Amino acid sequence: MITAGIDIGAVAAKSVILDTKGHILGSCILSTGSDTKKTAEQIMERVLKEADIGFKAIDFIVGTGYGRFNLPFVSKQVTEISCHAKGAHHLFPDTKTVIDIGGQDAKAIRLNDKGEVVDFVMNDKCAAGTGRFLEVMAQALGTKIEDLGELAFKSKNLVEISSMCTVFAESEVVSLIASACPVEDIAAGLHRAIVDKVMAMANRLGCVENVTLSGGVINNTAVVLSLKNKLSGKINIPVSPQIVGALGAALIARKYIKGTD
Amino acid sequence: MKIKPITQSTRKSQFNNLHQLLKNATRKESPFYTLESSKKKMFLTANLFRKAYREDSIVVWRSSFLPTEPLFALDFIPFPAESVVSMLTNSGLGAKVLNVAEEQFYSRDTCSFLRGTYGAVKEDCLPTPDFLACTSMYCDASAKLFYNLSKKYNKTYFYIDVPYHHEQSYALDYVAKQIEEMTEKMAKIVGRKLDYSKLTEAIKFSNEARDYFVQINKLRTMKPAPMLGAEALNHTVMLAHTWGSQEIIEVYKLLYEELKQRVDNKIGAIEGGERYRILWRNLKPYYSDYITSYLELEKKAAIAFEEANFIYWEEMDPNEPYKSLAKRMLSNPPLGDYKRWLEATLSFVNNYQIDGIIEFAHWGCHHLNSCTQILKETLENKGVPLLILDGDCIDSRDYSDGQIKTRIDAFLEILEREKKQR
Repeated sequence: MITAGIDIGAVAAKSVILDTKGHILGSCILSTGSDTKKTAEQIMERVLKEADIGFKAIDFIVGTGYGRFNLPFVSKQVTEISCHAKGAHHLFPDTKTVIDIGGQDAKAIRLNDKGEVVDFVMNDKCAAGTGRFLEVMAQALGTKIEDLGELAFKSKNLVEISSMCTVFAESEVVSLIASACPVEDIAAGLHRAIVDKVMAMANRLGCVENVTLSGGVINNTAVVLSLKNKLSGKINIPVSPQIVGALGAALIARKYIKGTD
Repeated sequence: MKIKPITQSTRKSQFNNLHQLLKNATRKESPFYTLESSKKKMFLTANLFRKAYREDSIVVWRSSFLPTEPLFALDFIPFPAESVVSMLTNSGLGAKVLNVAEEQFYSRDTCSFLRGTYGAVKEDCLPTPDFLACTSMYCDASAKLFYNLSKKYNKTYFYIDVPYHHEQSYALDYVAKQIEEMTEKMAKIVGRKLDYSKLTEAIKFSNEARDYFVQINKLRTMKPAPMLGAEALNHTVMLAHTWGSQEIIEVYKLLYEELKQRVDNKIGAIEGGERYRILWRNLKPYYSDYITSYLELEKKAAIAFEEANFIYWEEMDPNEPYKSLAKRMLSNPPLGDYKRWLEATLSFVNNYQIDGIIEFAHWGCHHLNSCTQILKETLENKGVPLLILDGDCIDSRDYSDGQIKTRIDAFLEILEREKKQR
C-alpha cells in the first residue's frame, strides 16, 4: 500500500510518498507557480523520482492546501487543517496544539488524544503573521528571506514594529532604515511582530501543551526562538516542518484505502 | 450655527439617482427563491420601498428594532435606513457607497451597514426622511449616525432608550411611555391625530403574522429541513420591518402553507438529502451567496435555523399596545447581559437537532464580537462545534471565497468525524 500526499500552498507545493509501513519514501518542495496543475504534475514527477517508483505504484493520493482542487491525479481533497493535525500527530503523538505558519496563512489547531481536530483558528483579513509578511520585509531590508532569521540573532536592541498591516509595516521599516536604525534590530522587531500576531491567534484558540510547529516559516530560527519564549511546555519541531501537511495528506490516504475514514 | 441641508432634491429625483446607480450595478438578485412566499415577500418589500419615494408619503427612517406598528397606524412609511444597505449590496452597490462614506472620514473599522447608509445619503439616492427614529438596541453607533443625519436633513430625531437591565420593574413603563410619546409627537408634527383603533388593529395584524411565523419555525425543526437557510436569511430584514402591516400576514401564511406541504410530504429543501444541520448566527454577506450555496447546495449542510428569525416574544395585547411593544423590545435575547442569548442559542441546538453552529462575525460589530469567547467556551463544554467566520456583511473588499471554503471544509470535516463516532 503506497500513498501520496500533495499540498499545494499559496507559496510552496509539497509532496510526500509513504510506503506500506508508513515510512517516507520520498518528499519534495517546489515553488507554487501561477499554474497549480502544472506545479502538481512537476512535483509529482520529482517525488516519484526521489522515491524511485512509478506513478502506477501509488494506491491513493490525497490533495490539500489552497490548490487542492482540480488536480488530475488526486482521489480525495482534505483541508490543510486536518492534514497538518494528522502529520503533526504522526510525528509527535503527544501533540495537543499545532501552530502552522505558512506563506499566506497562519493557523492554530487543537487536537484531541487521538490526534483529531477539535478546533482551529486561522488568520483573518490579511497576510500579517505569515511568511509573505517576512518576505516583503526581507525585501525592504535588502536581504534574502533565508538570511532574515540569522540577521535577527545579531540584534542587541530590538525595535518595536507597531504596524501589523504588511504595507504599513514596510513603510515603518523604510523609515527606521532612514533613521539609521541597525537592520538587525529591525529584523528582530519584525520577528517579534509576527510571533505576537500568531500567538494572539493561538491563545484565542486556547493553546494547550504540547505544541508542534509546522510550515515553511518554522525554518526561520528566529521565529522558532521567539515562539519558544512565548510558549510553555514541550515544543516539537519537525526536521522538515514544511512537509507536515503533505505527510498528513499521505497518512489520511492510507485510511481511505483501509476504509476507516 | 445653521447647518445647510444635505439635500434639497425631490424624492422623485432621489429615486432617479437610485435607478441610475442600480443600472450601472452588475450583480443580480439572490437566486435563492424556491418558494412563492419569498417572491411575494420581495414584491411587498419593493412596494413599501417604492412608496417611500412618493412625495406625499411621511417617511420615517428607523433603526432595526424600532417598532413599526405605530408608524403603520399613522399611515407612515417605515424606511429601514441601515438594512437598506443590504439591498444596495445585493445589487452590487456596496463597495460604491462604502467608498463614498470613506471619503467623508468614515473609518473602515466602523460598521459597514452604517457607513453604507452614510454613503447612500451622500449619493442622494435615499428618500428624504420626515423623521428619524432610533433605539438604544444594541448599537450606539447607529443612534449617533441617525442623530447626525437628523441634523443634516434638519428633521426631528427620536430616540428610544431601552434599558440594559430589562428585568428591572421600571423598564416596561419606561419604554412604553417613550413609544407613546414618540407616536403622539410624530402625529402632532404632521397634523394627524392617531386613530387608536388603527394601532389596535396593527397589533392584531402583528399577532396574526407572528402566529404564522411561530408555526413556520416549528415546521423548520423537522428533518429534512423544509427551507433553505439562504432563503430564510432573506426574510430577516423583512421580519423587523413590516410588523403591523396587513400584507405581511399573507406572506407568512403562504410561507407556512408551502413549508407544511413540504413537511407533510417529507420534501427537504436540499435535493439529495441533508448531511448536516447548521444553526446560523447573525446575518450573512450580501455581496455573495457563495457561503450559503456552498454549504447547502454543494456540501448538503442545511442551515436548519438562523437566530435572526427567532420569534422571542409572546402574543401582544391589542388593548395595551405601547406596553406590548415595550415588552417585545425588552424580551429581545441579545439585550442585556449574555445569559439570555446563550440560553436561546442552546435551546435552538436541541430544538433544531443542530450538528454545529456557524457565527458570521461581522467586523464592525462591537456588540456581537464582545461575547464570542463566552459563546465559544459554553458551546465547547456542551460539545457543540462552533465555526466563527470573520467577515463583513457589506464590505466585500477583504473577502475571498478560497479563504472561506477552507474554513468551512475543515469545520465540516469535524462534523463528519463526530457524526461517524456517534
